[in-house]
Formats: sequence, C-alpha cells, structure tokens
Amino acid sequence: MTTTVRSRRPRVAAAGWAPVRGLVPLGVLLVVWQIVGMVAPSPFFPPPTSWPAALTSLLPGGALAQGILSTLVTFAESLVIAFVLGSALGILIGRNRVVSAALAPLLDFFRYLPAVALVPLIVLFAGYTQTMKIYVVVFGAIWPILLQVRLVAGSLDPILDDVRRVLGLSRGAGLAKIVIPAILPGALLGLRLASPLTLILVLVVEISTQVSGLGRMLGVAQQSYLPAQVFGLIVIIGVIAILIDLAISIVERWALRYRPRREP
Amino acid sequence: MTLAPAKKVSRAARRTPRFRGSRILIGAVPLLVVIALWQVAKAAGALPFSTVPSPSDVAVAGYRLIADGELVAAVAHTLVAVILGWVVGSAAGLMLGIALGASATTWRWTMATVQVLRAIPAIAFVSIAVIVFSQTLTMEVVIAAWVAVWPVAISAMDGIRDVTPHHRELAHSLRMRPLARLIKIELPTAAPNVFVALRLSLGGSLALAIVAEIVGNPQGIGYALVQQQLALHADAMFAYIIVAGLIGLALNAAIQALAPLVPGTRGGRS
Repeated sequence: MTTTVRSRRPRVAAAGWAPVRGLVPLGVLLVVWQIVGMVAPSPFFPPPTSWPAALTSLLPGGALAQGILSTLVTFAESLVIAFVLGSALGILIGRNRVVSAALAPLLDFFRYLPAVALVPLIVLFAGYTQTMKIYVVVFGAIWPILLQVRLVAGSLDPILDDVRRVLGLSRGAGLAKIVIPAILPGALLGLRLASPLTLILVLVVEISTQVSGLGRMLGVAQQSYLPAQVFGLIVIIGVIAILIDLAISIVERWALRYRPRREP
Repeated sequence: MTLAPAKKVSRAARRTPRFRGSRILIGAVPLLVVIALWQVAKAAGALPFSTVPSPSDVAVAGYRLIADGELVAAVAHTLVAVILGWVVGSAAGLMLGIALGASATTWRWTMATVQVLRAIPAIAFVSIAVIVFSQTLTMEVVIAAWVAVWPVAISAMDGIRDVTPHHRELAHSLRMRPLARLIKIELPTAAPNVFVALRLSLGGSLALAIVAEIVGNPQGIGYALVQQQLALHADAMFAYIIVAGLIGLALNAAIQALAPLVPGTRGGRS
C-alpha cells in the first residue's frame, strides 16, 4: 500500500510537437517570401523583415503592450467564467436525465450556431464596453464546456452514487469528492475545445467593435491599408495562441496529475 | 438503503432508447415554455433590456425578411461562400495530408510548421484577406477554405499513419502501385478520421464566412446582422441568428446523412 510506484515517463510536450526540424518548411517559406519580396515587391505581401518596422509605430505610449494585455485579460476572464459557469450548468443538466433530454434541442441549436453571429446582437444590448466584450465571449465559449460536462455527467457510472451512499457522504460532499473529480477530465476537454474559440471570439469582438485590444489594432491596420503591420500582428497573435495552447496543456496535466496516463 | 439495488435496475431499464417521437415531444416542451415565458415577460415589462423584442416581434420580422426576399438572398450568399470554401479547403487539406502522411520523414520535417500555421486563429487572416482581395466573395471563400484545410490535413495525415504494418505488407506482396495503395488502403483507413474533420471544418467554414461578412464583404448573413444592428432592429437580428443556427444544424445533419457511405463509420451520432 505504502509503496507507490511512480512511472517517470519522459514528458512529451503538447500533442504532436515534433522537434525544431519540423519548422524548417516555415523558415524556407519566410526566406523565399523575403527574397521574392525584395526582387519583385508586392503591395500585398511585404517581406517579413519589414514587419517589425511596421509594428514600431504602435510602440509609443505602450499601445501595443496595452493591446496585448487587454486581449489577454479579456481572454482569461471570459475563459474562467465560461469554465466555471459551463461546468456548473453541465452538471446540473447532465445529472438529471429528463432535464437533459428536454433541453437537448435547445442545446443542439446553440452547439451548431456559429457563436460569432451573436457578436452584433449582444453589442446592441450591452453597448461598447469591456463588460460587453466579456458577455459576448462567455456566451459563445460556454457551449463546448457545458456540452462536454453534460455528456460526462450524464454517463457517470451509477456505482459512484452507491459509493457515496455507502460512505455516508452528504450530497454536497459527494459532489465535491466524487462528481467533480469524475467530470474533471471532460470539463478540461471542454476547456481545451473552448480556448481557441474564446481567442477567436475576443478578436472578432475587438475587430468589429473596435473597443480595444489586438483585434482593434488589426482592424485599424486593415482600414489604414498597412499589410506589413497586419502581418506583424498576425505573428504576435500566433505566438499568443501557441502560448495559450501550451498553458492549457500544462493546466490539464497539473489538474489530472493524480490519474495514470493511459496513452503513451 | 436496502431498496437501492432494485432502484438501480429500474434506472438501467430506463436507459434503453425510447421512441423518437417522445424524445422530440419532450424536447419541444421547454422550447415552447421559454417562448411563452419570453412573450409574457416582454408584455409585463420584466426583461432587463427594454429593446429586447418579443417572440412575436421576431416572428413578424422574420416573415417580413422572407417576404421581401432579403433573408433568402443573404442565406444563399452565405451558403455559397461556405460550401465553396469548405470544398476547396478540404480538397487542399486532403492533398496536403496525403503528401505529409506519405512517410515518417516528411511528417518529422513538417509537423511543427503545420501546428504553428494551424494555431494562428484564422480570424487574424481576415484583415490581410480584405486588403488583398478587397470586399469580394473570393475573400470570403479564401477565409472559409483556410479554416477547413488544417483539420482535414491533420486527420488525413494521422489516418494514413494509422495503416497497420499488416496492411502495408499486404500492399507490398500484392505489388500495389502507390496510387492503388493510396486508394485501396490508405484512404479507407483514414476515412473515419477525415470524416470527423470534414464535419468540424464545415462548422469552422460557416463561422469564418460569417466573420468575413461582418468584417469585410458587404453581403450575406454576417453583413445583414451588422446592418440590422446599425438600424437598431433587434427583432430582425434575432431572426437572422435563429436562421444562422438552423443553417448550422442543417449543414451538420446533411453531412451526418453521408456517414453510412464512409467506410469505417457506423453512421451513428457522435
């Protein structure tokens, strides 16, 4: 009992991350782009070396840093709210079969409704504010989490209910000690699905309402016809997306550290 | 306590699938209740925003949009953009996936690039697409296609890499040419994977086409939503959003109907 065998497997980074050599095609693409851009300049595809220069006009007064921060804060706040709210609603709905079946058509509708279509509507009601941004993003990002948790909560082994009764745990304790750990992997899968969607929604809201953030900068650069700046911002957004992905997989591994890993 | 096991049995018995009819019925009840409550709350002035329309307003607005042909035109435009983009993007993704899955070496030398390109939110490319293609259908199709490429490419690549050594030996001993091997062994192995990806990317194409319409191309559902927002016509916006959800459902149902044709898929829901 006391001897816990710990299998120390080599830590594999996020799924499918081949070593650096996999980045060679991207490097080649950028080099070719650079050469073509210098030989035959195109107004639409400025060479990569011109991108950082185009971004410098955003630096004074920390505009770029503020934009990044604003986007990240909106992203984090929305994702946390969507995760907590989505998991809670998912458990409530999933644990009751009648409610779950009754709400199925409504939930299906929201699952297939492109969340971006809601942006103009919620903007109309909530106005052009930071709160509005969070409303829209949470409303769009909550569905993958809610649906995933509902699915897992609905298919929990009935034995778990007996375990609670045998141990004489109250419903509240059962929720904390049995149900929540059991749905956690599902909730985290929902989080993984929701996180890119959340980033997309944040950017869409920012582009279309121009309140603040990286999306606003993208929209402004587009309207002022500055392709080099747009490409620079795309690179920044890409880096952010990859870091977020990495962060989510770290959170996932940390939250599920007590479970044996099934896949190699 | 002692009754628990008996209860368990009855619960398990209840798990058996019921008639489809009763399922639809039980699903319709809350829908109608929500609509009725919404209507009553609106009439009683209990809604948080006074500008929220009542369901009957939405129905009237929807009818008006259908009657003057505006809704049909917007839906037709969006559908054309989505389907064109999805077909082009999926085809490109399939070819890319086949090329990258061809050998472990190509996989090793390209995987990180694919992951990086895929990770960049497609929405970020809308701005550059608007600059390059201006506000046209092409812009929308390119964006809708870009989203579809990556899931399909990765699923095809993974699927082809899943071919068992047994099947590989079979192809070898039958002296199959590469093309025959691709058609008879690799693609059927990858088919279930690719099918799931095609479904995902169809949803992605729909979402991005609508974004492209909101941000750039002045046509389709996305643009109609923005127009109605500027005109403060909340009722018409609700009508458009309901239609957008129905399109999402319909596209998914359409592709799901093809599941029995795909080798290795059960044709069941997922």
